[in-house]
Amino acid sequence: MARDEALFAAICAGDRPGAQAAAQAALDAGASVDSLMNESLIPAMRHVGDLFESGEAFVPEMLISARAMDAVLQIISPLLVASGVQPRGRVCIGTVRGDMHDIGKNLVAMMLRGAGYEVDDLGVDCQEDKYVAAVEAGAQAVCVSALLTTTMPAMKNVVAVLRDKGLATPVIIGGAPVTQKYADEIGADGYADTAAGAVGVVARCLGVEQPE
Amino acid sequence: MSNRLLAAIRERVLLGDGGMGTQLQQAGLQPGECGEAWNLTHPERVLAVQRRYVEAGSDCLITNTFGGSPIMLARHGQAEATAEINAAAARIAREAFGDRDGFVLGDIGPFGGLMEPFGDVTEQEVRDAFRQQADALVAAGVDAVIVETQTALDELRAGVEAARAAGATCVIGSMAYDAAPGRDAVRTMMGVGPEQAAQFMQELGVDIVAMNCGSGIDASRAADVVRAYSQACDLPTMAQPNAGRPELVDGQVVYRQSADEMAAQLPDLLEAGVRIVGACCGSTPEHIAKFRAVLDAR
Repeated sequence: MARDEALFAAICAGDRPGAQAAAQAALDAGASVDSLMNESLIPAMRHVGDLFESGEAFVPEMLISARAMDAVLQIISPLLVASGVQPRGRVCIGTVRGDMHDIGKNLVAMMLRGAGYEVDDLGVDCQEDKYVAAVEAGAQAVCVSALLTTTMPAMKNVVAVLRDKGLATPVIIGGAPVTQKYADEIGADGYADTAAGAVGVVARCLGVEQPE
Repeated sequence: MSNRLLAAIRERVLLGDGGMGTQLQQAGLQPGECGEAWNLTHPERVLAVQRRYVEAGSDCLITNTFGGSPIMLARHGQAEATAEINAAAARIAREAFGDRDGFVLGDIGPFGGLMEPFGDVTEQEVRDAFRQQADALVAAGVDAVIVETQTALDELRAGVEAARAAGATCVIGSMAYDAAPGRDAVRTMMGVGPEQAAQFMQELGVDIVAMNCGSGIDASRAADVVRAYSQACDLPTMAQPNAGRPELVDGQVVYRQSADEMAAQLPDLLEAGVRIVGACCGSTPEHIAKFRAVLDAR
């Protein structure tokens, strides 16, 4: 199987009906859900992420592509489950206690879904025990977001509470004021400075291969 | 309609104020607490911050209403108090000037989400929210309304039109740009560049085109934005850059750019033709006092 060009182009352009139609046509023609996911959907979201990284695309372009991808996932998710395809990994994500900002957190969640991860979105203003509960429910990595310098210190608490419970689950942090230096300081396992970059950091922390 | 702020900036460059949130935190505001509610519960603390800015030489004070739209206040269960919180903020800023002549700019910040089709809040909901806030600010006698830290043109338009509909005789539109390392062009999070913003605001009938906050934009990069504005439109300009990028060191918020460093970049902004200059996150009355000295020495 190769990349489905119509599906790839529709996701990149954020054409929701076009993406759904292309996915359905490919399935009708006998394409496997696995190949659609790995050879068209994931590469398309990766392409959009690359354009964002290089300053050629911005938040609106990422959001409309993610919406088109979600529309396709609605069609193929039941088929993925039925065919026994496992997600690349299970990840939880939430904005820290005291912080109500969700635009960046949502972008990271979309990029992770677009890379084949199952994402448990915990929302905003998350108490530390919410992350713990998500790990106990099966999350293999914890993504923590903060937009404010005043709420950033709560990230340290998330790491501390998980470790206190004896959980070694990798913690990945991000958000406008967050830096690699801060991640090192609080003992977080990873830091990403963009939503697209977060996908690679999660893959590294989980030791899974990134699809090309 | 004539407006005293617009008349004043034809005569001289006005000095704005500096950061409010960080000052309130020093006065005891807790992370995640609603700073705007302090206009009602701790007015003396808000007043004390703004008095320090007046003492440092500010000609313009921005009301403590950045998150004062009912959509933002609802996150703290305070939406019902929108009118009172905004009216109190305008009164406090006016009081801070005491006997001195000064200008009160009523602040409308972002509503904190994304509008349809990117988010789930409708444009009408945002318009209604900004209108409630603008009505309270204008009724309380602000000299201008500043719609600030904007990243999307549709949200900016909603704020500007709300301010106009509320009767504001001076409306300022202020965008927050990000500078990526190694790239000259600055854009907002939503991909808007300074030229595009300036043309949009001129067509929209904004009175002053401004920039504030953002990421990686110091006073020197702000001067680039002001020059881009001036090439793209005929409107007077305003700039409020951050005091460098905030960093957390050993649990304390530290701003890299000192008052002296920031003031050293001010001449660049003034040469670019800016008519109102202040500072945003991380700046303090000390930064504003240094700005005053630079302005007075000209």
